[in-house]
Amino acid sequence: MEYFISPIDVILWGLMGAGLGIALSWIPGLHVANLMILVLYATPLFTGGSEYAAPYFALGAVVAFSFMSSIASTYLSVSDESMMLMLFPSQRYLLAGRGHRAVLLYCIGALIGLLFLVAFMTTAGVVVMPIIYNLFSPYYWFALLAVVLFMFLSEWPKESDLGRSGLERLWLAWRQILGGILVFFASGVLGFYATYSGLIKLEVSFARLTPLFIGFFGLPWVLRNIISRRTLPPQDTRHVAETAPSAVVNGAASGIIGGGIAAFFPIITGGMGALIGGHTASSRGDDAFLISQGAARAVYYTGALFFLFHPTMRVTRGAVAWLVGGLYTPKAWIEFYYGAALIVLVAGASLLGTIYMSKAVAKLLTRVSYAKISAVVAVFLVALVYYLTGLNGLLLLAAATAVGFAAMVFNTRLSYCLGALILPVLLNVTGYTDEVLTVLGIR
Amino acid sequence: MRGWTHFFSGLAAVTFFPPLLADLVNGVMWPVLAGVAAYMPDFVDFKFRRFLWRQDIVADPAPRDPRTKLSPRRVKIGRLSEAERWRLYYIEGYIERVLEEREGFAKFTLRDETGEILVVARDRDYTKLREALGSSVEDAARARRRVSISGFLDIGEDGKPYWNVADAPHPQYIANKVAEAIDRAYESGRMVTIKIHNIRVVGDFYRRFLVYYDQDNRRIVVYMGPLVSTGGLPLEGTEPAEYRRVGVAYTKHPFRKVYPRPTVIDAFSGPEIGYVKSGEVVEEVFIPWHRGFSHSITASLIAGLVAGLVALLAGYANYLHLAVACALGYMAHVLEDQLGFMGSNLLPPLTKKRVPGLMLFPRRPGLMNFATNWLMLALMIWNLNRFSPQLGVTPYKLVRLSTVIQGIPVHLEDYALLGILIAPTVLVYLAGIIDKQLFLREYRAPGVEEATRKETVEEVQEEVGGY
Repeated sequence: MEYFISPIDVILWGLMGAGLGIALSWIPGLHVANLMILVLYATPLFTGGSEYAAPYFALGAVVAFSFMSSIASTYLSVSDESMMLMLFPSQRYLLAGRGHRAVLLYCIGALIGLLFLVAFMTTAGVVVMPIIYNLFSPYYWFALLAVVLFMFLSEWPKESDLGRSGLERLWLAWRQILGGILVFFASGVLGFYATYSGLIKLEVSFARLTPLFIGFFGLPWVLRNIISRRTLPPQDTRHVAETAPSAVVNGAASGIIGGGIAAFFPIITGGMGALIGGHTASSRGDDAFLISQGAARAVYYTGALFFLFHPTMRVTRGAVAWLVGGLYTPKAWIEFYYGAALIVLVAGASLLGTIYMSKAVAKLLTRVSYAKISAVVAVFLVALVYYLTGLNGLLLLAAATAVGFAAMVFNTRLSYCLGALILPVLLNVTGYTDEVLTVLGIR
Repeated sequence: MRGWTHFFSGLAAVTFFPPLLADLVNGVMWPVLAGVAAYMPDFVDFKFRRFLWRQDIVADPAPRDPRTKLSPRRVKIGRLSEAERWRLYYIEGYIERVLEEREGFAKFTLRDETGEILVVARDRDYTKLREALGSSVEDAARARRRVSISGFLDIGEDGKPYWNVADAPHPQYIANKVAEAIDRAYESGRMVTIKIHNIRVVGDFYRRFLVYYDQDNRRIVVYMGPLVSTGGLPLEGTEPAEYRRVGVAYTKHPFRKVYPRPTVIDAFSGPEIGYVKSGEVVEEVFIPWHRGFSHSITASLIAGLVAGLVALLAGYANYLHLAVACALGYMAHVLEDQLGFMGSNLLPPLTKKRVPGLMLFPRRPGLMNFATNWLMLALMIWNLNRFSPQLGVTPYKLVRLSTVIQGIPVHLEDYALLGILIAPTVLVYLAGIIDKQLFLREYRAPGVEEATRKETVEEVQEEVGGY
């Protein structure tokens, strides 16, 4: 039997996608969906316009992004411990001169996550996933609401110990919790404006959330690097990963559970999934956390797209899959297995690429002014938003950056900014969209 | 059990009620309240009671700077008094006179705008001081540079106060405070709660210390350890100098520690510990604001009632089912916590104190948590599979064991599926019972108890000192 695509084509498309993914994934705050917009712009240039190329090109880019985005999240999101009451482990590693070790731990998690994904999906997943999908699909919005509620309920007040009286402690604790709720709803309002107001032109509606994501998750960090004029301590770039087998198993399990939930349930993101995964696997420790982050992101990004390749599951999950599915949806088992093989191949290449890139970046950042690099990144982010969405996009970017800063000021979870995505969907499902649009003056 | 496990149990309770599932399929989201109800016991304790609980004694060994929220903070020399002894601060000023400086030792005076004090640096503290100054003490004095020196106030053998250069408080401060709380509880006859603050330093690291209760000798021993990350990973080379690692305080009255391990304090937040007189002995109540009425079966019935009433008033048709699901979810939380060691006050007002838990898998509590999550997922899958045709979600059950395994009668296939799904959890729980027996045998063996307890401390000591 002659197949319509050859393994050589698949490898070439996948590696080209990986190359582009690597080239773009250093940008802080770039969501995987934003990445895909840029990737899909570029697809015809690299693939010669073959309709079958898009899924593999995208798969390569997503797998590479799963690894390489650890560079931006580790090296370009430095924080000031006097401004935040709890740093991310990657930030703590960086400030202790161990940024490269954080990247190594992340990569271990990402590699295990992807190997598990491929092993599961090509064996038990073939039978189990369609059953799971049919059992749980009527309850997607219930799951989303439950996870959002749990995020609020489980917020850990960090500042309350500093209060002198009971009421002061209570206020300090609830200031943070209420701040989180405020950030969620403020993000939700921005989500409504980005989606329904026409601020972003119809022709570029696929990029309507780009200004918001860059504003929430990218620009605040970069601006803070500039404001605080932070310098980095010398970085240890030896290939040393400080962890124990039990922490690897625990972190990987936590990440796989979290990433799997995020990949399977719509709107639930990697951060939300990782929260649940961490609770389920009782994950503790910085090393386990970093490993779980790698596994969660890799399984989430790649798994959601890889579901598109599953011939009997027939599920399109996540913005990337929707974008790719609009061009071509794989239908045959051979395409599914080509995809699985490509994931393993690109994962290996990306692992090596990320390790050496991390080493290079670690050396560069201790020699060049960190504030200047941050300024260049800030200019690039603003230019990217302007290029994609115009002046109105810059307005949204400014508002989203303010909300991102607010999350930091309240010491609350940054993932509340995902209200931009979640609130419009939840209100749509429960039938309140019209009322909200009227209140916001959009309709 | 972790928070999600409880929340998930509430969601699993919903799946036992087809009317609630039908509502969810139709976009009616009231049943999510059962998850909230299942989380509520911890929400009440950790978001309210914890903050409002009276703190009789506050032990803050290294007060934080109010702006940076990091330790140590500056203290002016004129403000130093014996009440501040052994607490970590930093002083700032000019080196006035260098009295002695040699390898591993320096003695000099430091003056700020409020006064002057003798400063002593010894052993590794001298080396660290030189690193911080960037020169010898003599050179710093000659340069008339303003310098900052962290450490604590101590009293010399001559009875005079001096500033001991250090990067951690002296553990004696904490040992004294704990001993004071125990004695006060005995003498007053009421519960005395001590709040022990943790120590957060630059880089988001925490100074780990542990409190060991030597009840046979009526001693409180506090060990000061290295800096650790929030994940508990020690930072190499940050152990305090040998001479200020241990603090010992004696109590006037006997005490008993209920939980068989030392209290370790590092990241997140320092604990509140209650002490209450029971007979002629003071007993420890770890985080006394937790696992009280909120964690009782009585409260679960009230929670179901309240949820049902709220739903009824809001016009929700299936309020009765929801009330039962909420009560079940809440009760599941209470029972799940009972699998651990601490236990809860199960049936107030009939019971007044915490009923000790089953202590399954004492050495691998994470596994119990995971197994319980699996149990809830298994119950969900089982219910969704058997109710799907009834709800019109699928025309038939997606999993029918009688069609796959010959010999399973059709009327028993659901129960067989349930058995298969929950088998991993049952196995882990059984292993938990065995682990408990092994743990207790090690701990209670005749003549071994004291040695085992010491070993427990040494284990933690290794962790404190190890890397």
